[in-house]
This record gives sequence, C-alpha cells and structure tokens, in this order.
Amino acid sequence: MATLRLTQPENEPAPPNTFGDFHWIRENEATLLEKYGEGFILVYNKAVIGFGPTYQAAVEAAERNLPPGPGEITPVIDTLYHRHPFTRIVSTTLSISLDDLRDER
Amino acid sequence: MTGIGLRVYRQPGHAEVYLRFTGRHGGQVRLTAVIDTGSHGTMLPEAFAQQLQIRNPRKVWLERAGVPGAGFEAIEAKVMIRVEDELGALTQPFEISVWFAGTLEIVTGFGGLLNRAVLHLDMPNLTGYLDFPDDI
Repeated sequence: MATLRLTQPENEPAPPNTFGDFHWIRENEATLLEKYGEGFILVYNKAVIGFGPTYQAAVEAAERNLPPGPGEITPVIDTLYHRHPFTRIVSTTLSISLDDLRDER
Repeated sequence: MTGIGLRVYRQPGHAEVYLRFTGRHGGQVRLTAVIDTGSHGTMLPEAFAQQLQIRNPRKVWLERAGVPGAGFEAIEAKVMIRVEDELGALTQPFEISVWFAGTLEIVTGFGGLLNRAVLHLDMPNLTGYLDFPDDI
C-alpha cells in the first residue's frame, strides 16, 4: 500500500500536486463545505482523500484511503470553515508561560 | 528584495500566501494562510502545535476585535517559517510568533510576517505579492 507523506525535506521542491491542490480547494470551497462541513481536509491531485473534524481524524481517513502498491502520496492539508466577515485577531495582555503554570501547580 | 506572489480571490475577496513551517520531526509543513491586515499575528488550528517545531509556548487570550464575548484562549509559541510561492520564490527562514487556537482558521497578519514586508494587492486583476527585504 502507498504511504502518506505530510512533510517534505527542507531542500526538496514542492511535490507537483501541491500548489494546484491548494488552489483547487479554494476554488471548490463552497461545494466542499456543503458536502463535508467544517473540518480538516486532505487533497491529492484534486481529489479529497481524507476529511475529519480533527487533524488526526482527517489523516486517519486518508490512511484508510491509500491506493494499493508501492510509492508515497503527498497530499496537502487545509481547513474548511465558514468564513467570518472579518477576522482581526488581537492579543490582550495576559501572557503566562506554560512553565510558570506547571510550577504553580 | 524577495517578491512572493499571492493568490487573490473574489467571492469572498481575499488573498492567501504559502507558508513553510519547520516540522516537529524535521522537514517542512506547507500551509496556506489568509492575509489579514487587521490581525496582530498568525493563527493556526491548535492541532498544528503537535506537528510543528515550536519553542517558548505561552498561554494567551485572543479576541476577535469589535465582537463582544468573542474571546478565546490560545497557545503562543515561536516557530521558524519561510514564505514561498508556486514560481519558486522563497524567503530566508525567519522566526515568528504563532497562536495555536481551537479554530479552523489559518490567517497571518502583522506581529511577525506582514510587518516585515511590503504588500501589493491588485483586486481588479486578482494579483498581489509581498516584498520581503533580503536581510529579513
């Protein structure tokens, strides 16, 4: 069975499917949202190979969907969600180191 | 200057950029992020905190500005990224702060990325690019 590869070595160019697949997701976002709902989506050569409400569920779904035979496939991972009319995320002043939190316990 | 091409869309109108993050176990994780000139930083779904090499994680409180009651907790951490486009343009690696939150949104704003670059956006022609200085 083929294997799933979600990362690439640093000096390796992007797999041939990468940018086309990201663009395909965006171009078909409305249709994909209607079909799958909100969540994480894995796409390879303009076909959905995995979807799930969580990253892990989406990857596991893709692993169950791998084609037989040797080789590896290099899907892109993206998210589907209904966009807010504006984003504008800001951080307020609270900033606690996780190490400090552990010490307090 | 390194010019990185953006993908520009209509309906809804927005621009996106490709980001390459250093993975937790080495290698590069590629994501696409919406350019958000109103956001103070870069935000990713919290699941990616397990996939990326992060340092100095801290708990922070984020708000969607102007929306009452829309605050939420996130982990802020340092990550190494490179910005790229599909024609092969690629910046040097640089470190930014990223918020990992219980969201599906992947957005990038100031506070690490946009504050380093000149943004060009041509909506009628659906083109755009970010110009990064070579000494990023």
